[in-house]
Amino acid sequence: MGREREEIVQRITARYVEEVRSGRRPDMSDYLSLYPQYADEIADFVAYYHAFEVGLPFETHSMPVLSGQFQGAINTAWERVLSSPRQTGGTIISLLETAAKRHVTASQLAERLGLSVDILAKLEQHAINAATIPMELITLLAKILYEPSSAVQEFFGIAQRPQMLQVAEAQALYQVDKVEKVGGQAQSFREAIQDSEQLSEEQRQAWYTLLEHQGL
Amino acid sequence: MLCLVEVADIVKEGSTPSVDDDDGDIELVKRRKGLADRYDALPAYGSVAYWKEIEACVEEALPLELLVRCVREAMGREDDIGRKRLFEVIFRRTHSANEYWANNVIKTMNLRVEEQSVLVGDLYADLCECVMRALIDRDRLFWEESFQHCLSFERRHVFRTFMTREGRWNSEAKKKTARIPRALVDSLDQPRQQSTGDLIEVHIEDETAQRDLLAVEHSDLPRLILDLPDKLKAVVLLIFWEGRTEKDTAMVLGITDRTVRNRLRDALEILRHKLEPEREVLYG
Repeated sequence: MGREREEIVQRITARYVEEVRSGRRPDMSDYLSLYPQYADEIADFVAYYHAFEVGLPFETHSMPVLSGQFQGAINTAWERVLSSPRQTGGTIISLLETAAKRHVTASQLAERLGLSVDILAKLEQHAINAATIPMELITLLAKILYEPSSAVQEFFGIAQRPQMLQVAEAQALYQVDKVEKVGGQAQSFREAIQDSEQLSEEQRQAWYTLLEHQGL
Repeated sequence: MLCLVEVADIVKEGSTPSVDDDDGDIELVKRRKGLADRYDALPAYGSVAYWKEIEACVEEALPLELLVRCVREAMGREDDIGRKRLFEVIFRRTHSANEYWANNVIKTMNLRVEEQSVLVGDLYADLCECVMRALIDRDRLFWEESFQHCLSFERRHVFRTFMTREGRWNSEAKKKTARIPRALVDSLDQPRQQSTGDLIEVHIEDETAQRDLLAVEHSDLPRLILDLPDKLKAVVLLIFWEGRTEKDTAMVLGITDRTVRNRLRDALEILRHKLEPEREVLYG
């Protein structure tokens, strides 16, 4: 079963399981007639579920000490995973699309970043000089998008920055490779903050303070 | 990768009688927002306060879905130590279910006690590995929404892989491998020696299998059906699990009555082999 198909079947069968867990006895035929194209997979899961999953204890909030056998099994699994090629995370093609994958709309993303949608649009379009974007914003974007900071930096076309920049340290120059400016020259992040008509005064001041602190 | 909004749309295309879609959607959105808010409210990654929350053993312990996000954040930071620590928390919190499941699966294999113990460890390690791989795969987004259901799916996958590897999965693919111990099943088709010393050919009609199948405990039926090829499972489940008629079954699956009968015949032919030992126990 392909990844996409599996995800669809998971969502369908999750409803079935929810019904069972809430004490109902759902008719499998309802699910099969609604989703005939997934009938085989649904039937397979339902058979497995009733054979092995019904009656399993729920997760616990306690943290039991595991016996040597099970701790050993976890360690074995960990070693196997570590020895396989490392997954370094994907490449971000679009901030908005990556956010949408995580059910975060443009306005929600802007809100969580403490920005306005117009500035977000400029970031998306590479219309802001990447070297003037504060590291905090990159870190926050990485956190919201569940992507490595390096992937966000790569999106903006900037070289990897040191995590902690000392106040007295001179500003490093970052090579901007991927700037695809929309409508001419890229403006600085500070200018974008200044020009925004959607940003609240409170947000604007917060960014100014941060930018001052970073010498940007 | 399919966008989850699209997936949700596909799932939404129809509605099940007992699930109100609008309410379900609202709940889903609320749940997603709740998880996102809680994740955002976590203390700084890697701080003492962060680990205190992650490892808290209280009623309001962090949802496992949130721990998936934390694993992925650790991935992004290339923090292997943090990642392992998060895995430990997840496996300890799900240990009871995983251990119970592994024991249950192994019990179906009729092994000696010492063999069972070794295989439970193997199966548990396979499960842990599969879960770890799923959690570090950022494209598997449903883990961030419904951890327990994804875990059930993973256990099913591990169960099938394990049984195939151990030569106990009754599938076409298995029949082609050299490792499959088919001796027991094959013996059913061999001439049997009666107490008088005469050899007789045993041939069990499908009607017999059907009768035996009806006599099987209702709760044992899914386990029997699991061994069938995927295409045949729905027909058997609808007829024997839900008590549908062939006509109903055909309508539900959008196939002809004839196809239902053919699939049922094929399924019963396979189940005949499985049921034979039980039939002998029951009827001598």
